[in-house]
Amino acid sequence: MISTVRRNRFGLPDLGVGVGLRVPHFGHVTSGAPLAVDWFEIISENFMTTEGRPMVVLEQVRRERPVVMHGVSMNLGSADPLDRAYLRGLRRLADRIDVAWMGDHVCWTGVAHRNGHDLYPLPYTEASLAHMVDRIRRAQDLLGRPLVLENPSTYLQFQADQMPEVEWIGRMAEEADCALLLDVNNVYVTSRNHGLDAEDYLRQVPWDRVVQLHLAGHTDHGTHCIDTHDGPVCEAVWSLYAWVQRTHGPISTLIEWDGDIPSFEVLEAEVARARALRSPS
Amino acid sequence: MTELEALQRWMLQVVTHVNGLEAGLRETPSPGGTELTAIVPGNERLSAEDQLQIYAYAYQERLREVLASESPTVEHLLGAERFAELARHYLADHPPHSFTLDHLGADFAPWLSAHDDPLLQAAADMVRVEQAMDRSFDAAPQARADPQSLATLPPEAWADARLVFRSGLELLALDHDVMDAMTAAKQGVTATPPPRHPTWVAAYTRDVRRFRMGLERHEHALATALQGGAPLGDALEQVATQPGVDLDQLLPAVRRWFQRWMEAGWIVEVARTPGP
Repeated sequence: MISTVRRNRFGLPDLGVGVGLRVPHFGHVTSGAPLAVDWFEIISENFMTTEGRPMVVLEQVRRERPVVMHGVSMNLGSADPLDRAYLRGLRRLADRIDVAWMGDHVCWTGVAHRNGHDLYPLPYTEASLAHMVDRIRRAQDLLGRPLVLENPSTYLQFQADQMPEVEWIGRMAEEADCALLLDVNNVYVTSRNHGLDAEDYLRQVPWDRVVQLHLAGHTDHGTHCIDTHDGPVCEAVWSLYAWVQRTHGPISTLIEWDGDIPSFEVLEAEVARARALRSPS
Repeated sequence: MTELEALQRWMLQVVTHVNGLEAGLRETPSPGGTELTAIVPGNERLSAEDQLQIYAYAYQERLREVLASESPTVEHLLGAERFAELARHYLADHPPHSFTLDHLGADFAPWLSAHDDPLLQAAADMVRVEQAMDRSFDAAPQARADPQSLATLPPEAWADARLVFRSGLELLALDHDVMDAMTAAKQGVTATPPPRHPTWVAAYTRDVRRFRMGLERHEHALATALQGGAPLGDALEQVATQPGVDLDQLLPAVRRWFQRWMEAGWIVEVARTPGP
C-alpha cells in the first residue's frame, strides 16, 4: 500500500514492503497469482542490456506495482571518470519504466577500467568525501533525479580514516544533497566486523534523508559477518529494524534475497513480518 | 595520481591476483611503499590479510559463480574443481571491464578452444550452446505464427514466401556432438566427453524457458538460409543442390522440419511479400 505520507525531505512516498525481482520468480509474478508484496526493486544492470523476457516481465510488473532501480556499478567512489554511457543507459531505463527512484551504493567497484564487481570500501577521509560529493552531484545532474545511496557492508577499515562511516555518509548526503537507503543488515554486519555499536550508528543517521530500508540475511562466521543475502533476516537485525520503524517510520522497506533464492511464498512471509513491525502510515 | 587512485589500484590488484592474495600482496607495490598495516590496520579478530582475503575470495567466487551459471553443463562435465581452476585463469586473461556481468563469459568459448585439450575444445562447444540459449532469453519475445498461415498458403505462393523466425533463435554448427553430455548434465548423471563430430543445434526461448534442439545437417542449412531472408524457393534450392541430398527424401524431411519448427514456436510470420 502506497502511503501519501512523505516524511523524507525529497517528498518520496512510503511504498510499503517490497522484494527484489529475480529470474526464478518471473513465472510466479506474471502468473496472475495474488502477490503479498507492495513493490519491487530491480538490480538496474540486469535490465539495461535486454529487450527479452526480463524486460517483458519488468513492464508487466510495473503496470501493477511501483518499481525502484538499485544499481551495483555506478562506481561513484572510484578514481576513474564517471561512465557517462552507463549513466545515460540508467536514465533511459528509469524513464522507460517510470521508476519511483533509483540508487546505488556508497562504494567503488573498479578502477583503471577494471571492474571487481564488488562493493569496495572507501577510506573515510576529507579528500574522498569531496571526491564522492562532486561525483554524486554530477551523476544526479546527468540522471535528472536525486540518487538514493546505500551504506555498504565492509570487511576492513583504512588506517587513513578520519571519521566514522556514519558521519562520513551523513556529510556526503548533506553536501551532495542526495537521499539515503539505509541497509539495516549492513549496519549490523559492519558494526559486528569493526566492533561498533549498531544502535549508536543508527542514532546518528540523518533520517530525513532516508527514503528506503533494506533487510537481508548474512552469514555469521564468529570472527566476522558476510553480507550474503542467502537466508532469512536474523533476529538482531529485526530488532534494529523495529527500532527504526518505531522511531522514524514508516519507511519503504525491501527484503533482499539473492543467493539460494527460495520460493516466493518464503519471501512473502518475510514481507509480512516486516509489515507487522512498521509504524502505521 | 591521487592517493585515492593509488589506494584503489593497489587494492584491486591485490584482491584479484590470479595466484591469490599472498601473491597479490607480494607482487603489488603498496602506495608509498608502506607496510600493509599502515594501510589496513586489521583488528583483534582479523588481521589485515584476513580482511583483504574476504574481498579476494569474493572476487574469485562471485565470478566463478557467474561463469558456472552461464555454463552449468560445462561445470558438470569438467567437475567443480577443474572448472574453478579454469575460471581463475580465464579471469586473469579476460578480467571484467564492463558494468554488467552479462559479458563476462564472452571470450570463454574461444579461450577454451585454444587449449590443446580435446575435452576443453568439446567444452567450448557446450559453452557456445549455453550462451546462445542465454542470448535467446534476452531477445524480444514474439507470438508464434498461426499454424493455419502455413496450411492455407496457396501452392503458387510457396516459392516466394519468407518464413520469419523469432528473434533470438540461434542456429549453431559445432565440431562436437554435445547434446548427450548436456542432457546428462541436466539430469545430474555422469556425462561422457562429447565426441568430435559435426553437430547442428538450435538455441531458443519459448515463454520463459530456454531450449536447445539438435538439428539434421540439411535442416540447419535450410533454417539458416530462411533466417537469412531467402525466399522459401531459393532456400530449398540451396539445400537441394548440396552434395549428398536425396531429392526423394528432401520433401518429406522438409515437411517434418516445418512441423517441429512450428511446434517449437520458431515461426512468427509467413510473409508473402518480398523481403528487404
